[in-house]
Amino acid sequence: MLSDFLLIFIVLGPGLAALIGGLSKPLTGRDGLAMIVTTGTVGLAGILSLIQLFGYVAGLGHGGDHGDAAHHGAHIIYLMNWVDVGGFKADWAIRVDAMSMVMMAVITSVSGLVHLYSWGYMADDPHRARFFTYLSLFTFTMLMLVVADNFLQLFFGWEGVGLASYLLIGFWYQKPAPNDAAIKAFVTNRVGDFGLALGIMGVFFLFGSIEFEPVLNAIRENAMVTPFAFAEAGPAREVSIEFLGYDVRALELIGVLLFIGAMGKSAQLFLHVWLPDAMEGPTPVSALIHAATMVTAGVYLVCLVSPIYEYAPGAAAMVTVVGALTALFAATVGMAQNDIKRVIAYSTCSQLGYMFFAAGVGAYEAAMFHLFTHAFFKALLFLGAGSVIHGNHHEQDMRKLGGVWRYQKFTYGAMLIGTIAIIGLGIPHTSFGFAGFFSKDGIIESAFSASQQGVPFASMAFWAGIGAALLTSFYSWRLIYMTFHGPRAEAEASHGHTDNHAHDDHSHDDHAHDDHNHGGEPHESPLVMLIPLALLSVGAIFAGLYFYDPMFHHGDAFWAGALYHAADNNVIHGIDDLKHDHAFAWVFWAPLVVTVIGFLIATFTYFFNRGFGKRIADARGPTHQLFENKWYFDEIYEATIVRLTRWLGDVFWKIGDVKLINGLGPDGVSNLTKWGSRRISAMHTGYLFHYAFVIIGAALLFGGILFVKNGGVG
Amino acid sequence: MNIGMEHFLTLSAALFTIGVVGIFVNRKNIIVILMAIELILLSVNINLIAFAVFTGTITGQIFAMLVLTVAAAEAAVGLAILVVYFRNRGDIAVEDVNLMKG
Repeated sequence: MLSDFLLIFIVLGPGLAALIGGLSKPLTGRDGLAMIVTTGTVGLAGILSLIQLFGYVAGLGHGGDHGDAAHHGAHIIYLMNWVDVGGFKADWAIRVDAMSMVMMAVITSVSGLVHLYSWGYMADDPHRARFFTYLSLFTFTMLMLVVADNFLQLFFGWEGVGLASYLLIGFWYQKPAPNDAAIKAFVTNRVGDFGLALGIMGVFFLFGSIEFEPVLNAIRENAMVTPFAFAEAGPAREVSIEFLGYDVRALELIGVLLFIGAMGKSAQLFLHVWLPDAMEGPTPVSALIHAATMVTAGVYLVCLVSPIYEYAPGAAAMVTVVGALTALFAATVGMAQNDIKRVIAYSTCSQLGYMFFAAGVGAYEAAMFHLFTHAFFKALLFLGAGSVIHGNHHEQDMRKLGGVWRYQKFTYGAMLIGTIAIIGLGIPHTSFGFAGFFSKDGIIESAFSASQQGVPFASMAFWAGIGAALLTSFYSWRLIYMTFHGPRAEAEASHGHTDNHAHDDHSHDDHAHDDHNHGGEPHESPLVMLIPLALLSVGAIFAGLYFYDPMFHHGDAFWAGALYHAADNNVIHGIDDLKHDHAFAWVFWAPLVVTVIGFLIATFTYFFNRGFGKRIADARGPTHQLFENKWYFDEIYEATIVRLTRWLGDVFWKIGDVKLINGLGPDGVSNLTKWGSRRISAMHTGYLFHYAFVIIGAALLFGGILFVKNGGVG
Repeated sequence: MNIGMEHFLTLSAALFTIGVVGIFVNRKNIIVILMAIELILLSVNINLIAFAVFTGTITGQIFAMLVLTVAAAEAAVGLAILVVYFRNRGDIAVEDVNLMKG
């Protein structure tokens, strides 16, 4: 572990860089300072984090002080107090354990490369300083999230990355589509964040603290806890609280609520709708935030509170089911998309589903390991796609691309590596394989192992994982074939006359690019964009191989108690038993077989019979329509939730506010006054005879009254 | 025929009523209104003097003198207002005199 000073630098440095970057443009009027400061700081943090991670792994073999699995070795640096009211206490702190180290390495290294890549990708954008400031701000808040030592700081980071995501999706704010997408992402995340906030409140309600150590230790030790509303204490794993009128086990409730938060941030089924739209942002943003880091925050959260899910089988089953469904669902949609970034976005969604069902069945190591490897190859795929988009004048529609490999050989190679990594090519029982092979097969094996041990829904998750692996292979190769292979002529012909149209639809910063749009000829991207591709390729190839043993296979020493397993959770260890049983050999070969099948189908459909895929699409069969239209989720939400919300808003606005509050309140009083004064002023006709009549009438009336009162005449 | 109290009072009431109705019914001429007011004041004077004579005191007569003075002053002021008004508006039709309308 690094010294405290360096840890503080890694976490706070990007925040400071964002501050300097944000101020530099108004003060100096140039973008260069912001770019240098942010890239330098984050890059340095990335190098330090990687040194830390590798040093930690190297130290494991020598029986260092991290080797004791029972010792929960979190190193906490106290920065300052944030909230201390009554029993509610939250500090700003940097808490570093194995999970934080993995996340820090992923965040800072990918972020550093994305910063560097953006020098090329955003070269013509007039708002580079703002872009780099946002990127660094994102990196800072994401780091705050993963080094939090309490739920409140985690929530700060959680909202901070949401803010940065919103700002970066809507970076090209002059266009309506990115604005809409940014708002959609923000609003959808509010739904999840509501669950997260309730979950944190539930934690405080139950444990009287929101700091990770006391809360998670209480569950580990099954300590007696006293929920606020109840006098009697109970063991942490058993005690139940009342929610919405029902008596539910507290841990189940907290588990479900926290998972709802994770679903929003990690774009799981039902709350996934924002992720594909988030592709409206610049491609480096998609790579950093919507593939490698922010969307994995949900997985991180679930793994962080693993003690809760270990003793909340219902909540864990929900995680499994949602994860498995998402893995399969997103893969089906990914098959029918034509926008190169959307394919990868759905692929991300699908891979996140893998991570969740791994966590759901109790294989937290598998989830974290896949998170780690996925970050590299998914960032690689996104940056590769960005390189293609950059080289082809902002053409994102794969139907209009084709034959690009001749022009962008380096990008082609990087994308191939990324594709092979994501489909998980590798030979079982050997150590040959790309990153995805180790982690994804680890997840599928974990699911099978869990199903053998009777974990609910694990066997469904296993089959969903196998099915999604088939589809992953298919759509990944489809992307490669449609983009890089095939004739260019078709694209040329259509490029000429659909140029303006294509620019309107798909290009985001074409205003900056028009000046060097040289005739549709694709060109390779500059070196500054290729270096990140090369470095990420290294990660995509070797991350799995190198970290398989420490992180997954013999993960107990590595995680050092950061990931908790109940006494009866033998999912990971069960894999070894399966390996020695020949009856289960098919389990280890199944992912490879379906991957090859997917590859063959894609090759047949999109390589040897190039028109075949197009004919399927043109036939517009119901299945293809369903997939292409994303299972009509957007339409269903539009018809139900959006319209209902709008109707409710109309009711509250037009009836509640305008008619009731305004009508009875300010407007009502003023109208009453106006109406009344008009009536009174109507009496003032201005005619003398009217006044005279009133005067004499009144005199007669009062005279008459006096007359009668005094007893009449006499 | 003996002229008694009731004759004076009847005359006075009739004059008063003519005066009041003159104010209400007249919609054309503002001078008629002034005259109607004079009529009302005179009917009051008749009342006062009749009572003074029949009760044998002079309070009523003194009061009648006061009323006459006030009536004269009032007529002077009223006519002066009319003259100025006519200069400003060129008309003294009562129906048009509604500048005070709210």
